[in-house]
Amino acid sequence: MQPPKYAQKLLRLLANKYEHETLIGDFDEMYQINIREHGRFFANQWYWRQIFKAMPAFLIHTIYWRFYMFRNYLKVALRTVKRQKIYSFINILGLAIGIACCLMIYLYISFEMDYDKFYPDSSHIFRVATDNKLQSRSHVWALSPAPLAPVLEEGFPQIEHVARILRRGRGVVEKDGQLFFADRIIYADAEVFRLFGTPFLIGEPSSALSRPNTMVLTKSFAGIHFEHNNPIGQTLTIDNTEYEITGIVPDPPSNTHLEYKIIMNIEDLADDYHMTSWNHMYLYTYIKLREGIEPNGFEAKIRHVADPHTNNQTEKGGMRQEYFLQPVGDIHLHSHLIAEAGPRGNPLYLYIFIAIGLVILLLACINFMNLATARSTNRAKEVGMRKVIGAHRKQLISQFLGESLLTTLLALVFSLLIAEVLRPLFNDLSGKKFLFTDFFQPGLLSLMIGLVCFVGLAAGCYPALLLSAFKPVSILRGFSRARTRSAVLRKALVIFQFTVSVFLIICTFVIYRQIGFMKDYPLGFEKEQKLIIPVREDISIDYETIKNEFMNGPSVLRATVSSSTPGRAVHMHDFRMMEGENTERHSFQHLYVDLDFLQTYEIEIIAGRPFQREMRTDTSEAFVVNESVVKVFGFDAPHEILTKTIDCGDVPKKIIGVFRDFHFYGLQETIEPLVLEIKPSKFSFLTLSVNTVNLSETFPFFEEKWLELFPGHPFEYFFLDEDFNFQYQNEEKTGKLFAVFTFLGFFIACLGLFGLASFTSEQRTTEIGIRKVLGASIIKIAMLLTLDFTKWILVASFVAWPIAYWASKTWLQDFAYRTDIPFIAFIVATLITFIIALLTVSYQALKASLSNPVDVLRNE
Amino acid sequence: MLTKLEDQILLSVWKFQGKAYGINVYQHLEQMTQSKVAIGVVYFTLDRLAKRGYLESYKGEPTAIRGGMRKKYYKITQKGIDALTTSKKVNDRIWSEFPGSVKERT
Repeated sequence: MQPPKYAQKLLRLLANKYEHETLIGDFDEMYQINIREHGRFFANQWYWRQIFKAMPAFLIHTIYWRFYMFRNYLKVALRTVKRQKIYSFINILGLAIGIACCLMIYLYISFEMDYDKFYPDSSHIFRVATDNKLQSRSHVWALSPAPLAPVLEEGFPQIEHVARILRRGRGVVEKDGQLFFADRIIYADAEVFRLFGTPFLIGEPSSALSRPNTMVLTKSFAGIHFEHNNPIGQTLTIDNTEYEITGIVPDPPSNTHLEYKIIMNIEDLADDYHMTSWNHMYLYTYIKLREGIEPNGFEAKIRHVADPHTNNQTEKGGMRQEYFLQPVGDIHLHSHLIAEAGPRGNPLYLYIFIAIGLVILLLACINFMNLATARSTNRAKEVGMRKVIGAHRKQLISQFLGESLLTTLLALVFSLLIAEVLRPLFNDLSGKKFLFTDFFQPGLLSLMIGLVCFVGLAAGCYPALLLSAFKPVSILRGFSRARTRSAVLRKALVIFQFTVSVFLIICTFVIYRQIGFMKDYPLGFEKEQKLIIPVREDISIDYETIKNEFMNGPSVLRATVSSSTPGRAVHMHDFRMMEGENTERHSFQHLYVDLDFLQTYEIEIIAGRPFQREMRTDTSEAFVVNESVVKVFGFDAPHEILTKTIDCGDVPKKIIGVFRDFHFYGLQETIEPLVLEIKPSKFSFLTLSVNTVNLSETFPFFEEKWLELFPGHPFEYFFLDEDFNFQYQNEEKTGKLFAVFTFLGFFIACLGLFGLASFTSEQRTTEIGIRKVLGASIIKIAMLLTLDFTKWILVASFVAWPIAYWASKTWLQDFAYRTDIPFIAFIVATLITFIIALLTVSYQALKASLSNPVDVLRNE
Repeated sequence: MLTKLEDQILLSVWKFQGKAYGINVYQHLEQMTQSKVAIGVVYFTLDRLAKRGYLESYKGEPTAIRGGMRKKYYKITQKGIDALTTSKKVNDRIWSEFPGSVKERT
C-alpha cells in the first residue's frame, strides 16, 4: 500500500531536505500502522491532515525569512545606488541607451522582414517575373507582358486567381472645379481584390470594378476628399475622364511593395498596342496558387509558356522569355530586378543593424561589468560581514544578481524615454513612421523583458561570482588590492570598447568621404542651375514654341526637352548594326531629345557633330551615341562608327556623332551605352538652364507662363542637382545612421572610461597624497593618471585599423566609382578618440592631483 | 525552563530508552494526553530540544515497512535528564497546594 502520491510530493516539497529520508520514512510507517488499525480511508485522511496542519507554520517561516532578507537586499541595493551616484548614473544611462538602440533596431528589422506578409495565404501569392534572354546577356524584369495573364488563367487550373497591375503613377484629379495631383494610381484587374484578400470597407470585391469607368479609393484618400459623405456612386475626373467610385478599401499597410491610393480598372486603359504585345515588359502579373500546389514544379511548367507567342521575335533577334515566380513576401528584400514597384530593402543593412545593435548593447554590458567589478572593493567588506554572519555563497550570488536585475529594470524604463526622444530622428533616418505605442507590441515587450533579464544576469554574473568568492578572512583582515586578474580583464574590456569606437569613426569617415566624392565627381554634363518642369501633355507639335515662350523669361539661358533627365528612368531597346556581318542585338539606353539637348547639358562631342537645326534630316534620320556604343560594336576609334546605320526594330537611322561618356545614373552604376534620337512624341521634361541668382523674380514668370500654356495642370518643377543626388539617399542615410551609432557607441565607451577613471583615482588617493608630499607637481600626477588610458587607446587603434580597412574596402566594392581610403582617416579617428578620452579622464585626474594631501593622508 | 509540551516529549523519549523516534513519540503522546496532536509539532519540538542539547539523534537501519527509509532515533542526554529533574521539582512545587490530586479523585 502506497500513501497518496500528491501528498507525498507535497511533503517532500515542504520538508527540509536533510530530513527527507527519516521524515518520509516516519510518515510511511505511520501510514501502514493506520491502515492496519483504522483502514485505508483513515490512513489517507491522516496523511493529508498532518500535511495541512504543518502548512501554515511552514509558510510563515519561509515567507518571513525570505521577505526579511529581500527587504534587506533591496535596502542595501538602493543605498548603493544613492551613495554612488556617478556609477549608478553611468550604469543605468549606458544600459538604457543600449536597450533603446536595440528597441529601435528591432522595430526596424521586424518592419522590413514583414513586408507583404499580411495578405491572407501570402505564402501562396507570387509575382511572375520575366527573364529576357538575348544571345549575349539577359535582362531580368519585375514586369511581364500584358497577354501573359489570360494565358495563365486559361491554361493552368493550379492557379486560383491571377491579376495584373499597372502603375499609372500620377494623374490630375478634378473635383468641384478644383485641380490637384493624385499619385499612386494603379490599374488592376477586378480579380486583384480576391487575389490579395483585400477587405472592403464599403462595396463588394466581386462587383467593384465590374463596369467600365469605375474605381476604388483607399480610406484616407476618400476621407480627404469626401469627408463624411458616402462617396459611393459619386464621381471624380482623372485626366479628363470621369470615374465612378464603387468601393472603399483600407489604406495598404506601409510595409508593402505595392502602394496605391486609387485603383482603376485595367479594361479602361485603351491601349491595345501594349495590352496585346508580347514584346513589351508592361505590367506586373500576380498569381495565387491553389492550396497544395508546389511552386517549384509549377514554375517549371510556365517557364516557356510564351514561346508559341514570341517565336517570330525569337527567330529575328534571338530573344527568349522565361518566366519565374517570386514569393510576394520576398520581393521587398530579395528582388532586385529591373522596374521594381517600390523602393527595395537591402538585407545587408539589416545585418549591419543587427550587428550594431548587439555591439552597442555589448558595450553597455561591458561598462556594467567593468564598473561593478571595479566597485567590488567597496562591497568587499559587506560581503565579508555577510559571510561571517552566515550567508551562503548562493545567497550572495542571488543578492548581487538581483541588484543587477534591478539596475537593468530601471534602465529599461529609461530606455523607453530615450527611445521616445530619439524616435523622430530614427523615423527620419529609417524613412518609417513608428509611433510610441509601437514599443509596446506584445512581441517586442516580451523580447524586451527577456533582454533585460538576460542583460541583468549576463552583466551581473561576473561581479556576482567574483564578489561572492571573496574570503572573509582576507577581506576583514585588511584586504589586498593587488587583484591583477580582474584588472587585466577590465583593461581588455576597455580596449574592446575603444576598438569599436575607432572602427565606427573610420567607417563613418569613409562613408561620408564616398558621398562627397560622388557628389563632386565630374559627371560629364552640367547638373547645376538646371530647372526641370515635367510636362504632362503631348507637346510633339508645339514644343519649339513652348521652349521659346520660356526662353523669353528673365535669366533663362537655354531650354531643351527630352523623354527623361539624368538619374531618372530611361527606355531600354535592343539595337543592331545594319551593315557588316555582325548582326547581334545589344541592349542600349535610349533617350529621346530635341536639337538643343547636348548644348544645354554641355555634353562634349568627340567625333562627328551634334544634332543641328540647319540639317533638316537630323530630326528623322540621325542617332547620336556615346563612346560605350562605339566599344560595344567593336570599333577602335569613335569616328569609325560615323555614318553607320543601326536600328532597334523601328526606323533604321545613321549615326552622325559620338559624345563623351557621361554618368546618366549615380556613381554606383557603370556608364551604359546610350543612344540619343529626336522623337517629339516622347518629350515629357522641359529643362531650363537658368541663372539662379535672381530666381525669386524668375519663378512668378514661370508659373504664369505655365498656367497660360497648360491650363488645368498645376505647376511643378525640380532642380536637376537635387533630383540627381536623390540617388545617393541610401548612402546618405547609411552615413547618418553610422554617425548616430558612432556617437552612441562612443558616448557609452566614454561613460565607462569616466567611471573607471574616477575609480582608479579614488583607489590611488593615498599614493597621490604621498607623491605630493614628496614634491610631485600637479602636471606630473595628472600625467601619471592619464598615461594608462593613452596606452589602451593606442592598442585599441591598432586592433581597429585593419578591421575598419577591410570593412570599408568591402563596402566600397559596391560602387563602380569609389574613393580611396586615406591613411589620414585612421590617424584622425585615433586622435579624436584620444582627445575625447583624454578630456574624459583629465577631469578625474585633475581632481585627484589638485586634492590637498592633508585631507587624504589624515585618515591613514 | 521547559514548556509543558517539551516536558511531555522529553519524558517519552526517556521512556523509550534510546529507541525513540517520530512515530512512537507521537503515538505515546496521543495516548497519554488522550487528544489529537499534529505530528509536525512533534518533529518541531524534537528538533528544538536537540538543538538545545537535551537530545541526541542518530540514524538507524533501513526497514521494509518504511519503504527502505532509515529512522532518526533520539536519545536523552544528561543535560536533558537534569532539565527534566528541574522541571519536575518546579512542577511539584507549583502543583503541591492544589487540592484535586489523582488520589482524591479516585
